[in-house]
Amino acid sequence: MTESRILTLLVDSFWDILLPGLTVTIPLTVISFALALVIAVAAALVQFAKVPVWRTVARFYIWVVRGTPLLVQLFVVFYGLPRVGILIEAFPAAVLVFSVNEGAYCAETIRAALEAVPAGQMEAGQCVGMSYLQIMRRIVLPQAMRIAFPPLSNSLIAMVKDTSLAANITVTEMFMVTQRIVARTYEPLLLYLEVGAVYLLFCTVLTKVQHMVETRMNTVVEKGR
Amino acid sequence: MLEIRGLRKSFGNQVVLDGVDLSVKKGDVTAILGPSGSGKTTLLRCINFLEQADGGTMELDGRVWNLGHVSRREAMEFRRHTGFVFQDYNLFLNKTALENVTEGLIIGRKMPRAKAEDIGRQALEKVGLSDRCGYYPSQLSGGQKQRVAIARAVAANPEIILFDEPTSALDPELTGEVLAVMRRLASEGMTMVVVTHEMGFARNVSSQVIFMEHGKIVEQADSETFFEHPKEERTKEFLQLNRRGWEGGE
Repeated sequence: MTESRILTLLVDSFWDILLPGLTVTIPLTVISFALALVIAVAAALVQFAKVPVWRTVARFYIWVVRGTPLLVQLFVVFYGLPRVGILIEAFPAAVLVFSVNEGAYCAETIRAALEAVPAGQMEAGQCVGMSYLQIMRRIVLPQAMRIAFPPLSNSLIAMVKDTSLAANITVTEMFMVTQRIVARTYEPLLLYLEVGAVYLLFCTVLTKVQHMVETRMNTVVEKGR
Repeated sequence: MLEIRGLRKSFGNQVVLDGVDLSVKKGDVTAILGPSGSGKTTLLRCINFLEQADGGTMELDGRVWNLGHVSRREAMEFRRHTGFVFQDYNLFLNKTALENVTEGLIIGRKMPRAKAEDIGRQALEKVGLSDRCGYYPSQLSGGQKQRVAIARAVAANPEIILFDEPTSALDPELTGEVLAVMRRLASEGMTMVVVTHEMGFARNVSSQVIFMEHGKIVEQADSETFFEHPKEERTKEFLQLNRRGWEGGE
């Protein structure tokens, strides 16, 4: 294979790979992660507030989801559930599995962050006549989210890459598109390296954004007592 | 105005408060003294329901609370008439000095923002921090933080303010500015209950002194009698040990 042919192949396939990255991988990540955060905050709060029944439900949910492989969860929802009459299309199925899966991990992150907020913040809120929910919403949660931000960014970056698993349930995201190009061109090494580079590019951007946000949070200093 | 009868509190099988009676009149500044572990702080925390007492009653201006059994709503009702100042400030870390003062007014009491900010600015001015409205707690010194915390307690126009060792977390050179603010509050007629190790403050500012040990009140007297003519042997011993702290004023 000549050098010019390699170059042509890489350039031609680059847009073919990047496009589903922008139209499928990123939306899948963003939607799933947003839903995951909603689930995570709820699951963390019911544990933190020791809400009867719901905290047990949350513990059970986290136990099951963290204890089973993501790939298995995808297969159960997409290939398994139709057997009991529940048919979900590939993309929504992927969103469902990724958000429920990620929600369990993020719930633990947020719970730990809630517990890291000094107990005196809650007491001070009570002493100025605020209700429990008001204190949670305005004092404790904002501080907890600040603490949770770096580990949550970590989870988001991991999720970008995990979305490649959706190829297994027929979602035409970046990795599946790459596999198709490989089938046509018989250049697995080049193309898989190339798609890897595109994931790297996405994650690099996210890492930069994370650093920017962290720097901004630290200029509005809210640490210490 | 504040009457406490038979306040009891145990942690496990350790009795921390063993039937405490306490009476505070309007405008009184009550200093609570005692060695570490005597139950002073727990007493204050039980009064404000930060700890749930095992039993006892409390009366504030005709309203009665059963200390051993109190609902969230009843606790909130009491707190809306009282201020609390913590040893380690407990300022809201994600709020500026001004927001720390106004938060309880706007959110807890549903006061219009503009009015709350007016009150907040006045309260911060009173503690000498009108130039620090927009500062976050991390940008303030310990003494400034405690003064913001006092402004926060004052802003709600409470009937009584409870202070839990307000200068114990401060460097000696910073305690003066906080004590000065408290002295000014006292001179304006604010009713205060102050758990403290500052003998000078107890001697010169407070109107009555309570000496506690092992969860019981050993002696309760007006400030002058307490320091000049203590009745109990244990009080005399305690004053002797802490002589340097109160003789010759602050």
